[in-house]
Amino acid sequence: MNDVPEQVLPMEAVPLSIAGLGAGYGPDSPDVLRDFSIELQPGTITGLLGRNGSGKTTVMEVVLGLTFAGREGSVTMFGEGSQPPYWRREVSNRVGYVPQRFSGFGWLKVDACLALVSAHYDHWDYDLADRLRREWRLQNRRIGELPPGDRQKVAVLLAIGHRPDLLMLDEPVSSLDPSARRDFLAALVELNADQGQTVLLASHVTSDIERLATHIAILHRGRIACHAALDEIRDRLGVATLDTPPPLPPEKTFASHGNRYWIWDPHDGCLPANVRIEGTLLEDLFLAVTSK
Amino acid sequence: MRSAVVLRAVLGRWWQLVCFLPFVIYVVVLGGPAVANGIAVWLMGIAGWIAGVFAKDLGNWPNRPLVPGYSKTLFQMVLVCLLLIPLACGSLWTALGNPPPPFGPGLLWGTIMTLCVVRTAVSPAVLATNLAGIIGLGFYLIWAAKQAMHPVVFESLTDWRLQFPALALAALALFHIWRRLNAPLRATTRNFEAEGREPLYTKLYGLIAGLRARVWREVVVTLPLVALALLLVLLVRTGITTYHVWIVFVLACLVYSLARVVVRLATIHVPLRLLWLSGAAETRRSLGRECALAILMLGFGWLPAGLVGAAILALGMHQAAQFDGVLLVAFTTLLMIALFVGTGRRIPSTKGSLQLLAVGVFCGGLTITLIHGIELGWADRSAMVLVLAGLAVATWWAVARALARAEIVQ
Repeated sequence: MNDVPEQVLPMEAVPLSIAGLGAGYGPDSPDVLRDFSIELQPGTITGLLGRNGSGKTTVMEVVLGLTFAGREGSVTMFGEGSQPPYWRREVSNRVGYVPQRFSGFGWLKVDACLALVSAHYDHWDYDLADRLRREWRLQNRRIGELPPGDRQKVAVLLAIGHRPDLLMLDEPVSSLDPSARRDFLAALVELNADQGQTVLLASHVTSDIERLATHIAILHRGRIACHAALDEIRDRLGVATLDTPPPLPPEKTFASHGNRYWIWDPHDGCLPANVRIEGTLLEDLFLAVTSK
Repeated sequence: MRSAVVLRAVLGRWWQLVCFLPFVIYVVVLGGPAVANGIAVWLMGIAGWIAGVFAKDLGNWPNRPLVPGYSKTLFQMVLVCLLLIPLACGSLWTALGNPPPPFGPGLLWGTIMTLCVVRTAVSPAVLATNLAGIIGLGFYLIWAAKQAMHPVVFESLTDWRLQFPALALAALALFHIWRRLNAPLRATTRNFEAEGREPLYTKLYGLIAGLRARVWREVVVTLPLVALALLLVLLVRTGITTYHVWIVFVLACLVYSLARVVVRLATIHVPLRLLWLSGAAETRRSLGRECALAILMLGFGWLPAGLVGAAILALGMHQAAQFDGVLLVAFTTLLMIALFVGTGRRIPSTKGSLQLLAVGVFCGGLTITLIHGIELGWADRSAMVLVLAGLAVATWWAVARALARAEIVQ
């Protein structure tokens, strides 16, 4: 479509800012999130890591207004706050979301589904959607008859077809085969490179996050336990090959993996171990933070 | 463009329209001018049901609130289904020299059907019971035509004293549909931790253990039916025979309770499994007996309203009418249990349409058989014996199925 309306919201606004968010399901239930705060800078890809049930999905659903679980705190998207974001057309046009499990449109064929959803957006990148469909070999069958992986591909197409400025992905590749996973991640990198898209990616696959993300956020016990640029973490996190563990204060954690050792401080985060960087660090860091 | 894609999406469910076609033809061919108003309302029920199914299926997508104007499109589609059909049919009807059709009750019935479908979880059982409810109303219309019932019931549908309040209530229902379509798909999530703290007694949701709580809940749930009974009492004063009013009330009860009953029956294996694992039931036989009692109790779940209505309306009713009513109740209970047996097992979603079609044909066949049975004088004591025997067999079948689904094998 050529009649793209002028963006009302400033492009340079912070795509997503969450401050002191608390959430839980039901009045008597414990908090799923408490004092959850994070700010995503434009153009960054933030990998959100957390254990099962830690609240990754809740964060996304509360932020997007897909659930009423939010109890306190504030959410600001592109400088707009105080209301569920989906009430503002300007915000909706700039946000994409891939749920953990795609449901709906069971009897619709893929083409019809894409046509139905694309008709509601001010601008839809038909070339991108067609190209990804071809690359993913997505057949024009009824969505209810597609295997789960192909259904997830449809969800991804529906989320990125309007080229959103903020893309939130809730474990999007968990049901994709390795080939489709690689293609999807490549498309994500391309989108990010093309238009500086901001991405919040929740996943258990640390290797994917390590490959894609520019920033890492680890969610533990309802709040962000570690949030930093991946390069910064690499600089601060040390991996050493030592004969014996060094003596440590009791509040610090000494962790080992094989013959490698590193240190986690609950106040200062990852302490430099003054050694070279090698191997996969993110998984070790994740295990250290979430085992506390 | 949006209208085109929505229309294209809606036409993808052509089989639902085909499913209704035989019944529409049957009613239109066999019905008469006396029930024209009833047919109009019935068609509105079908339109509302279809609109609800479309809105539910197209809206059953987590991203729905995020897509700009998507909920508005769904609501417009509902309005088109609910308003265009009656306007077109009503205009044609009026152009043929007839009085204006019952827009108010028709729109109210259609919006209620839409709301019911939109609010409930989409499953073949729910859709099938909705379908059964619509067919039940069709059955009533045909029966009324065959029995040459007094036309006052249908004539009153066009009374402006009924039309305006019905239109106001329909507007209220439309507002709720709008709010529902704009609400998040998942307002809350099951709180497993809190559920884990509940005692087993509560977990069984009073189905078998908590009889008193269940009765009170049924009383509360069936309050609208009591209200309907009071409305019908007012109608009685206008000259309609008590027998016809009672039949209307019984059918309303059945249509109202069908969806609830079948959905509960479809999940009865869960408390059965809990009972078995907790050791509350020592033998499979005792568990089966409790299960049968629960099924029958659920089958008559609308009994409180039925008792209140019967107490109000039974005065002066002929004995033959009482007999017909009891036969109808037993038959519908049989139908509910048969629906449970037919839809209880999870069938892959790809087969959902075939399943729904089969249930529709099944209900229609039984309905037509019963209509002609009554017409030919089958509704005697032997029919009652047959229906009760069928009820016993179906209950036994349902128990066996529930125990098998609960994986209780010894």
